[in-house]
Amino acid sequence: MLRISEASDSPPSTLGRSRLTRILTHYPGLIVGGFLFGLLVFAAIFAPWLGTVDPAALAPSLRLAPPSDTAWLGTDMLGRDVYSRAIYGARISLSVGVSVALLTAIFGTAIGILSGYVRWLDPIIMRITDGLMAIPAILLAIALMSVTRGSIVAVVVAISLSQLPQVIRLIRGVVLTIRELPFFEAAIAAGSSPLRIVYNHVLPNVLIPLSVQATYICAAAIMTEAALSFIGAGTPPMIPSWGNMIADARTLWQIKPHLIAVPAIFLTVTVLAINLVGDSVRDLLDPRFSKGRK
Amino acid sequence: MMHQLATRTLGVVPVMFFVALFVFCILHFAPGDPAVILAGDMASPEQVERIREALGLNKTLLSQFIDWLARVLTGDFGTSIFSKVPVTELIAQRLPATLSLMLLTLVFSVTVAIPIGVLAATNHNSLADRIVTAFTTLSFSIPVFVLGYGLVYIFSTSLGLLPVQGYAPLSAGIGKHLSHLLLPALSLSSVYIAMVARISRTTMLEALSQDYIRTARAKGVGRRSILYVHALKNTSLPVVTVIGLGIGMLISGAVVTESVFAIPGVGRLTIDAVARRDVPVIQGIVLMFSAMYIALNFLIDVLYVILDPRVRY
Repeated sequence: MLRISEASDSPPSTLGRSRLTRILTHYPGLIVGGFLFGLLVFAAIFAPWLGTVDPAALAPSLRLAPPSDTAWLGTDMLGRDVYSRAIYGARISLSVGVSVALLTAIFGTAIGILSGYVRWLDPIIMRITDGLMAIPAILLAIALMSVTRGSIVAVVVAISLSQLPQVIRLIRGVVLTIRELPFFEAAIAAGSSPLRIVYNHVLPNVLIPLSVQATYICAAAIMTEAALSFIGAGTPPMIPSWGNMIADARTLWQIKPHLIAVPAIFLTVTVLAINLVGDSVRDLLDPRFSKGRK
Repeated sequence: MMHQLATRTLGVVPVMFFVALFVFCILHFAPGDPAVILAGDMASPEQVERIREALGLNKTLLSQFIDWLARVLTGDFGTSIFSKVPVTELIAQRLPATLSLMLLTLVFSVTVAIPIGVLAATNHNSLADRIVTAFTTLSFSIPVFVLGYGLVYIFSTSLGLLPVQGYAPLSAGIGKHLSHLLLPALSLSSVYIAMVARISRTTMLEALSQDYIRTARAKGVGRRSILYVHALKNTSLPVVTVIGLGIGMLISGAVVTESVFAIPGVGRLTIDAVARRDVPVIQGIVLMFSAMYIALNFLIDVLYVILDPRVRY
C-alpha cells in the first residue's frame, strides 16, 4: 500500500516546486488576495509619498470639486482631498484589523489554553464566553463605545472583546482534543512541565487553525470598525477612516455618489482580499475542502 | 426527553445572567461617574445628585446589581435620559419595523440560500458551483451599508423603481410596506444567504457521499427523491443551527441597514441613543436583542431534541 502511494507521487527532488505550482494554480484566491492585500499595506505604509496631501486639510473654496490634476478623485463637502483620505484610511482600517487579530489571538490563546487545561476554570470561562457570544457583535461594541471617549484604542478594544469568545472556543476545542492523544500523555509521563507541554505540544497544534481564524477576525474587525464609524460610534469623526468618509457623504451622496463609492470600494476590496487569503489557507489545510484531489 | 429539555432550559439561565451582568458593568465599570453618565452632558449638579440617590449609587455594588436585576426582571429598564420616556415603551414603538425587516430578510434568505447550496453541491466543481462559491465570498466581503447604498443607487435613483428611503407601516397597506422594505431586506440578506448557502453546500456534499445515498440509488430511488427526501433531511440540523446563529448577525446588520434606509426601527433608536449617550436605552436594547437571540437559539435546540432522538445535552 505504502509503496503504491509513494510511486504515484513525484520524485522528492521536484516535489517542493510542483507542490508550489499546484497550490498557485488551484488557489488563485491566494495570489489575488495576497497581491491586493500587499498593495494596501504598501499604500498604508507609504501614504505620505503617494501623491497625497494632508487628508484633514480643509479648502472651503474647493468644496465638492470634480476629479482634477490636483485632486485626483475630487474633494468632499469640506474641500478635503478624497484620494488622500482614502489612502490614509487604509492606515486606520489595516491597523484596526491587524491589532484586533493580534490581540484576540494572544488573549484568546492564553484564555483558551487555561480553559482547556484547568478543569475547574473551564465552566466559568465557558459561561462567560456564552454570555459574550449572546450579545450581537455590533451591539456589544456600541455598548462599550457609548461609555468611553471615542478613540481608536477604544474601537480596537470593543471589537476585540466581541471577537474574543470565538478564539477562546477554538483553542479550547483543540486543547481538549489533543490532551486525549497518546503523545500528550507521553509528555506528561516523561515529566514535562505544563509550560513546556504548552510550548512544545499545544502551540504548534493550534497555530494553523488560529491563523485561519485570525484572517477572518481581521476582515470582520475592518468591517465592524467601518460600520461603527458609519453610525457614529467608532473612530472619532476627524480621523479619515473609510467608515467616517461614508458617514460624512451620507447627506450628499445622491448628487455626488463617488464620495461614497470611493471609500466603499477600498473597504470592500480590503475585506475581500483578506477573505480570499483566509479561504485559500483554510482550503489548503483542510482535506475536506481540497480541490482536484481524490 | 423531558430531562434533556429541562437541562437545556436551565442552561439558558447562566447565559442570560452574564449578559445582564455585562450590561450592568458597562455603566458601572466605565471610566467616570455613572450618575454623571446617566445624567447626560447638560445636567446640573443637583440633577446628578438626584440620580445618584434614585439609583442607590451610595450602596454597595452587589446590592445595586440585585436591585437593578429585580427591576429588569419586572420589565422596568429605566427611563431614557433624553426623552424621559420609559425604555420599554421606546423599544415597543420601534420594534415592529425592525421585526418586519428581519422577518422578511430571514424568509427571503432561507428560500434563496438552501436551493443555491443544494445546486452547488449536486454540481460539485461545476461552473454553477464556482459561481455560488464566488458569490458567497463576495457577499461576505461587502459591508451591508455599502451594498445598501449601491442598491438604492441602481433601483431608486437611476431606475426609479422603488422608494429611495423611508418606511411605511403595515397599516399603510402591504404593497407600500413591502416596497419600502424590499431594498433594505435585500441588502441585509446578502451575508445571510452566503452563510446559509455555504453550510447547505458543505453538509449536502457530505450527505451525498454517505452509504445510504448509494443504497437509495442502488434500489432505484429517483434523483429528485434522493436529493430532497434522503439527503436534504439529513442536512437540516447544521443548516438550522447556522440559521439560528445568523440571527445575531441579522440583528447587527439591521442596526446599520436602518440607518442607511432611514427606517424608524430599534436600530435607529440605538444610533440616536449612542449619539446622545443615552445609556439606559442602550442597556435596554442590548438586553432585549440578546434575550431574543438566546430565546431563538433555545427554541432551535428544543426543536432538535424533538426532531432527532440522537441529540443529547
